[in-house]
Amino acid sequence: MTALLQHIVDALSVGSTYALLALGLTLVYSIMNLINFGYGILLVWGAYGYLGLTEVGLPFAPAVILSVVGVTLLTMAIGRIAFRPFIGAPPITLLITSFAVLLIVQYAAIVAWGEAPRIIDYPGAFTEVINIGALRIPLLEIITIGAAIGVVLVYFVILNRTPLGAQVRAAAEIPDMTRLVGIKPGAVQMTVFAISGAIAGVVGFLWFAKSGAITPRSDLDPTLKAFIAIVLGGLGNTRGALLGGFALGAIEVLMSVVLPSNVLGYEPAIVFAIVIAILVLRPGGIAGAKVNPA
Amino acid sequence: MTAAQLLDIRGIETGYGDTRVLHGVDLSLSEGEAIAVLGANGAGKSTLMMTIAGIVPPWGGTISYSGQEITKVLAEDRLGLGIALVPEGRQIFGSLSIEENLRIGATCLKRRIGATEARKQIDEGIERAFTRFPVLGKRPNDSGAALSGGQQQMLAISRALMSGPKLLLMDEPCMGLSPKLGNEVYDILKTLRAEGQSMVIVEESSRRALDFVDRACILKVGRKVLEAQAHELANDEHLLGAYFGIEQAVEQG
Amino acid sequence: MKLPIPVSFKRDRVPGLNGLVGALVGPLIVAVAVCFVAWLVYASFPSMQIIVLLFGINLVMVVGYQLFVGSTGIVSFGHVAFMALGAYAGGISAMTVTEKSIFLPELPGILANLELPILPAMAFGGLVAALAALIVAVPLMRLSGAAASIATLGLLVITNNVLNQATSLTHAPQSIYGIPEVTTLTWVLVAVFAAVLISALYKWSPAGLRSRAVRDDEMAAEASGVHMLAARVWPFVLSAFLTGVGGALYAMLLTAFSPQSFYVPQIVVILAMAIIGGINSISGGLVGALLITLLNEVMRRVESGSSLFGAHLTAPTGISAAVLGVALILMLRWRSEGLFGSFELQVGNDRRKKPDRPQDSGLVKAPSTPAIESQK
Repeated sequence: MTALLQHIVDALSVGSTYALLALGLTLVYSIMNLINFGYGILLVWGAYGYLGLTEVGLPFAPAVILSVVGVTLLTMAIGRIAFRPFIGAPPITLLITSFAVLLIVQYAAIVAWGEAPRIIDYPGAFTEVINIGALRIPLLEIITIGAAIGVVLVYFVILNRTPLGAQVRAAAEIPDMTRLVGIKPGAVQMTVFAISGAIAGVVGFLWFAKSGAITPRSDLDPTLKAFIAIVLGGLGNTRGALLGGFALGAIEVLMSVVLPSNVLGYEPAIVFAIVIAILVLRPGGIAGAKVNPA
Repeated sequence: MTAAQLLDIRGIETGYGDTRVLHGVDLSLSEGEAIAVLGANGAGKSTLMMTIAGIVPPWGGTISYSGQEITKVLAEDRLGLGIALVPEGRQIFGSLSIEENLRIGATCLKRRIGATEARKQIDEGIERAFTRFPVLGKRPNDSGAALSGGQQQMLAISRALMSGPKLLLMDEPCMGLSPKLGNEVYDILKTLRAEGQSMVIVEESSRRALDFVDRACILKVGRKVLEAQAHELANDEHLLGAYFGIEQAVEQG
Repeated sequence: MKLPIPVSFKRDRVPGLNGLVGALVGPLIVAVAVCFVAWLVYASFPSMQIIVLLFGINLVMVVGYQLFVGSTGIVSFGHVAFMALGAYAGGISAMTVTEKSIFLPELPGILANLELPILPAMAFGGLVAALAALIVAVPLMRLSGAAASIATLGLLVITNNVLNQATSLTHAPQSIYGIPEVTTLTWVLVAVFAAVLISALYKWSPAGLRSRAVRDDEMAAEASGVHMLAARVWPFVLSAFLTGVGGALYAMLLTAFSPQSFYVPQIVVILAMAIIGGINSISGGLVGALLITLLNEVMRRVESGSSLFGAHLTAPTGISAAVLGVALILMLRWRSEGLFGSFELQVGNDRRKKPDRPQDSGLVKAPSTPAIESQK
């Protein structure tokens, strides 16, 4: 029983990061059909930002906040420079464009930080393990789940209780009507990139706090997981994104428990195969067709 | 030299992809006037509205508004100038509540007149909408999609009016509505007319429109083939029959 | 300058047997031209021979890639997986039995006793890749558009993972050794011409036309009875075969590699070649490959800090990827269908009036109808 609860917490924690990533990806997709191949590199830049800030002596909290803000601004800049000209282009063009953008932004990281892996020093508290009854839960997992809840709450508040959020919902539903009520598509795009970037900043911190080391090529894993999560959950659908993320987390943890040790190395392939199997049965994903970011 | 028209369209040519839909259309409107654009399915009426609103870019021709050429002005900036389109099919945001639909219609006000003044006008506008259409005010936090077709039309008109537009463009306001509801819609339009609202109305079924507007023109396959005072057109069954087919001229709203 | 043979760039081919021949010969002529350039470099610069051979292998893979993406409109991020499978399968089958007993002692019997000359080894590599494609095609092709692209990326991840784990087959994660170095310019050129011919034959076959019909309008094609899955599966399998052949040639050129040689960084080059050259054109892919290779060569010199027109340039490694990224964005911005778009070089006179044929539209359509459009 204890083991089961432990695994559930594990799955929730892992699933939380995936769900947040999927959320950030889906938000942008719902506005402009862009599935950002370069989402992972934003996480990488966020973590490098934290690294750099702490190296120049900034204490923990300001470093985290500044790095998240930095990633938000970086995402908005990328959106403005690289994606604005492609508004209205078909999803495939945007996907390739985002891949091209990734190459450029990744190169910038290589130039700035070098290809060698760097260790990020997180405060010791992060490696602590909390004892709750018979459970031994890493503090980081609790922080992750908490952060995810917080982010999702803020996300829904912004989207449902602010005028900007109303604009985003409207633009995701009927882009042309939104223009007819006087809303500039560029402004909506910037809002969406900002939110998406902020999410990337937060997840980046959590992700590399867990893995500890980072290289400019560490973007692939988060991007892949995010992609699997949104396709699994159902493209273009917020509920789907969250569901997909948690489902992926659950599958991963389940596999790590269930697979015999000699097959464990095949875990990525098996997880992917399971996802594809689910997609065969439900090509629209667990939660189905395109709806709305809210 | 005549005073500047509110709307002056010359030689508009446009289409979608490789298909040309409008072949040089002229149209003009003075302030306070109401005109109808009539024509069969596919004549180009909606395309014309979308071109005026800025969604469909013209391949040729000019659009002037209050003496200013706006052919290149972006669609999202035209509402700020005072051009509001109530598009075909109403296009209510189902993901927004009724009140949010109204509020979003006034987005451009803040930029135009400042935050405090805008807030005042928006609140007044919402109240006016709820007074005019009590059904909207009953459950303003319900999704816009929860309303019936006729109610959505009321919402769409109210949303368009929130920014106080000088020119109201309406594309088939009665489409999909029962005749009774259609009459209700036109009652509201009459009230607006009485308040001096300039408007262009696109209609397929002509009777109601002709009773309402000052002038009317008929589009056929992307060209304006006739323009006349409304009452002349209304009384000439022959003419209407020639352009719409006998059945339609006889069809009553 | 009047050419001795009448040539033209056209989207659709002239009907009839002459038209078919002209449509097949056209891309072959482009291939001849491109390969001629390659051969010149090969003969004149001995130090560049490996580069030319790699270029030829890239040509095979671009043609294979274009076959799939041009026919289905699905941008595959996973074709590197087929290259990997072809490389390992072809390489292992070409290895001598003795070498295999040293380096890969745990190989299953059939493979352990196989020792193929280059042509069958190429074919074997291609067939293994094609088989893998067949297995994954059915689930993959039920997805559409971006979801399918993501699924192909998953294919790459799975293949990479499996190859890394199957140490008895691949000696991974270490490099595999002992593959005979038998790839020559002749064989590469043979592969290039065969690939172009196969691709052109498919493109103008009824099956190819059906694929493109589905690509352009899924619903209409389905309504007219075109079997959606077949329209996607066969180009996928054929394309995998060609890519696998390229992989086998690669294996027998480099003779040593590991699964890491076939992962995400390798996607860029083929993708760039195909997109920039023209995703719907065989001729385009060939020319795109040439341009990108030239660009890469310039970038290599820049990375290693050599002089270029008197200016001393240097940049950290990885800049070629960034430059390709910039090139991709510029091309997508300027002309989203690529240099050649949907046009192919074709040979022959077209004396008839242009037929009323539905347009073979590009992979990426220009933004057109607004959301609230209505045909009024």
